[in-house]
Amino acid sequence: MAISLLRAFILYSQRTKQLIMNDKPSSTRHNYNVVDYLLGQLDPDFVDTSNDDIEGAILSMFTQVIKDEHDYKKSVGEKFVPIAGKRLKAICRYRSYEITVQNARDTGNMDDIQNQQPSSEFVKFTPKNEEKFFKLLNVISKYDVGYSKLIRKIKRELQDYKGIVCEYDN
Amino acid sequence: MAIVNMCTYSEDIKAIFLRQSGLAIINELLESKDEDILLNNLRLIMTLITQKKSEFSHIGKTLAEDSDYKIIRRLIVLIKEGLGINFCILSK
Repeated sequence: MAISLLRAFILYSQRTKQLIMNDKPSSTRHNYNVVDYLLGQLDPDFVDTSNDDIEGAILSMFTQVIKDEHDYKKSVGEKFVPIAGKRLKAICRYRSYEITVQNARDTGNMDDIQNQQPSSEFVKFTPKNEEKFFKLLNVISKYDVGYSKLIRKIKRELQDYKGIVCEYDN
Repeated sequence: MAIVNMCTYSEDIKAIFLRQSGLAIINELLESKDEDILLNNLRLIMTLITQKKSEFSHIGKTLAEDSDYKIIRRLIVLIKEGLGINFCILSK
């Protein structure tokens, strides 16, 4: 709710973006800034503790924050793109595992499953969040060659995702 | 919650609430350590700043800029630190 509110306030006051992006780590035990904290919630290693609504709110908020703001696009992009790559990789791993289990069930040969590491299903996106995730990547890469280069770093993960997740589902 | 429901009816009710120390109440409740009170307060803020397509309102801007962006600063702290109680995280 608080994240959705911040996003709503961006529409009324541009200073909201500055306050989010210039937030400093607290002097308490919460020694991280709000951008790192929120992007960290999308990391596949921590995704079990987050939920779909929060994830959607985070993706929407950052899309709003970086819109038409080159500096913010750069700093959010540099942090978000590696996490995005890691997340896509984790989803592909999970989908491969799911396919192996399905094939093993169909053929009755369960030996294949034992060789595969089980993967958490929490890494998957809801259809709505998947759309928001790629929208954020799209906004990061838009209008500037430098940012497109940033996205190219996760080209392999994007191709795998397209091959394993999108095409198999269709 | 009753105020949230009332405010959804019209912009006039929102204006009356804000004239009657509404902002001070919102700021005070943002410091609450009770998760339900806090959540209802956030719902109230969302209701106040949401405007219908046909209407134009300054409430969103007013709330954002009040007391040097106090609400926004508090929201950022809430997102990072929760209620500020050790071993307690926001669940909603």
